[in-house]
Amino acid sequence: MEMDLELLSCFCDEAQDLLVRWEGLCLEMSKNPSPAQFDELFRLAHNLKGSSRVVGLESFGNLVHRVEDGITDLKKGQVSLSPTIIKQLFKAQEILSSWIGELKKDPTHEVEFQYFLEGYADAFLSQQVDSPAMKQPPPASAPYAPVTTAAPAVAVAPAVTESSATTQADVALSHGVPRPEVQEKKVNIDETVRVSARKIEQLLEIMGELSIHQSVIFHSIGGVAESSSQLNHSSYLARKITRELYEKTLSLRMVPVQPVFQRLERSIRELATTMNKQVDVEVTGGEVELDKTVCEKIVEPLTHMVRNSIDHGLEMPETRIETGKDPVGKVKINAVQDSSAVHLWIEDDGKGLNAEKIRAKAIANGIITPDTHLEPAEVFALIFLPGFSTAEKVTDVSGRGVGMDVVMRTVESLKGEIKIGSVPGKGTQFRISIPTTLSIIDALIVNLRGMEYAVPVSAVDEIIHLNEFEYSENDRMVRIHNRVIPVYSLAEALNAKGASASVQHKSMLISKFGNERVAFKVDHIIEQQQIVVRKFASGMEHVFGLAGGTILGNGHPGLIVDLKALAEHCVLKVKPKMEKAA
Amino acid sequence: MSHENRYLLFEVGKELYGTPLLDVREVVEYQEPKFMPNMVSHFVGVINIRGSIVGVIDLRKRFGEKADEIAKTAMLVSDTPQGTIAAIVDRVDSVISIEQSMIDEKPPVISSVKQEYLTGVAKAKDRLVTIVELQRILGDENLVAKAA
Repeated sequence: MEMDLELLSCFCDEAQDLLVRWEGLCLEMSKNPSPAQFDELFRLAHNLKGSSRVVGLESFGNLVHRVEDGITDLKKGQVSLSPTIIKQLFKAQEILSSWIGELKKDPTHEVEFQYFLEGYADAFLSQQVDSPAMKQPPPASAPYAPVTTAAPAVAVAPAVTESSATTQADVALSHGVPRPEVQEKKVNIDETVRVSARKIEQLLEIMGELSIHQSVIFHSIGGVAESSSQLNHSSYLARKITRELYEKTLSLRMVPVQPVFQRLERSIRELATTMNKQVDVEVTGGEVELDKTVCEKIVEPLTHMVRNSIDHGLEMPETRIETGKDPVGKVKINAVQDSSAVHLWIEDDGKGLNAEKIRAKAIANGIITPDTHLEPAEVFALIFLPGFSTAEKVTDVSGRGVGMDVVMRTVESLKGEIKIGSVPGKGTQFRISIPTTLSIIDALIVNLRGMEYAVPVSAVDEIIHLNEFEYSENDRMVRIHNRVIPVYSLAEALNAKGASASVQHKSMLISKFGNERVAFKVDHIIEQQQIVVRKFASGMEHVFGLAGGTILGNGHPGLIVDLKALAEHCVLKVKPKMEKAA
Repeated sequence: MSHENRYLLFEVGKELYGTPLLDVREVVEYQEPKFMPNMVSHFVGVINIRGSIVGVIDLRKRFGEKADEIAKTAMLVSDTPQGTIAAIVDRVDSVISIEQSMIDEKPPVISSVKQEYLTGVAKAKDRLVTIVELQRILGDENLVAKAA
């Protein structure tokens, strides 16, 4: 059949949404099953089948159709729900999801599903509620619609009867809930409009440009002393609205984290079952939104983390009872949004991280030396280093070479951070914080040798005005709050050339790498400004000491200093010497 | 008229160059680039083109000519594999058509341009035109200086 690619891509998007809901329903079913879930799952499968046939995916439709047969049995009460059936429904969702994934790359992709169907049918057969004498022919409207959704109801095709475990004769009247089988209304998971990501990207670009010009106007008006108060006021409001508009545009790309959490919950349950561990999963904050690309990136790392929690954290039920715990372990997944970031929490009440073991392992792997002194939090942080794995043996579950270092790298690439808290015997808590608006940031505009540079406020721990401290121009150290910290010239660290040689430095920016503090002296701080971060073109990326570009309030291009990277460089440069001296 | 045979002629130093017209996205007025540290030497900074940060390459330095300050009048903006890059030239001359057959692809002349960027030499307006591919010249290498 001729395939309309645009239609197919629409179908794939829709199918993905439906399958996410499918997974959610299965999770609900495994907790507290209710007939309403069967109805919804049925409508969902039905819808999926209909639209797959519209786009010409015959065999996809056939698979859904066979799965739908089973759901029909559940719905009618001919089959009672069992863990095996839920497992099969999960499996079906998995097969269909990966099929959709493949279809996006190859529209003609086919999947061999006969093997799955056998297991699927068996699961249903074994749970059949049999009272054939009581059964009646099916209602006139069949659980099956043809390709075109226009016709409200169509009689069951013969193919259905032979392929399904159900026969026309065995629909029990006693279970016949009077309900229209074919729903006119489409299953709407959310009232949404699909917009192509590229359109939003373009909109964002235009908004970014508008913000820049707005900022230029704002600053020029500020410079004209006699400008009327009305002009000032309007300019102020226009700037505020532009900013709001920009944020709203950014939010267009935001999606709830619920589907991500759902996948985690499912991984946890599956893994716990295979490992004979008992677990109760509590998910909250699924409505919190994250950028779609961020969501896609964090799924894998988070899955890795929860699998670790189950594999290494959670004890076997017997062990838990011995230590006076509930045999059923608890894993909490939560999302919280605050003004600048989304925090994702993963907590378990397992045995906690073993600081001694981590330390020993790090020493064995040559990551630290036996006499390295580390705070407890620093010991935990070791697990994120490349090549580190607390798993004693390579299991099929975690420890497949991809370690927590991959988690760390992903989070860092999103400019986020991970915090670990762990109490031996009580459990472990991870907090992953991901900043939300990456594109507009607060920055200090500083003067280095006559040139302006932007320094993100988030990278600055403290600002020191030098006239308040005992410091002379050539000192290599400064004493602040009773701690002596090394001083560097920001211009030198950055290799910044300029129109003028360095003047008397007036201020210092204090930044941190790990627990080490570093002071960077700057000629002076001009002002604090909100800037729109512009990524450099690929040929200019990864420049030492720079995080990107921006257009400053005066319309000139500006460079954003990566103060954290400079601090890291300065700390690491002197560290070997310090260790040798010690 | 086909765009394929159209060339934009520009001067760098004393030499006249030609690049396929389609290699040039736009020509903008010269603006003083803002210095960017830790880049290769012929990368002279960044400019603001309608809200985008665009890197600037000085073609005199790129071609190994003396970088004495005379009329830098224009910038040729090109979309390269390394992103959008602006090239400083001394003067933009004109756009002309040159038939492929008129381009001598293995010229005996010694040009200041490295052989690998040289497509050929043609004669136009009674002068020799060094034909180059601007997109390749601007986009064939990473612009970040190797760590010292």
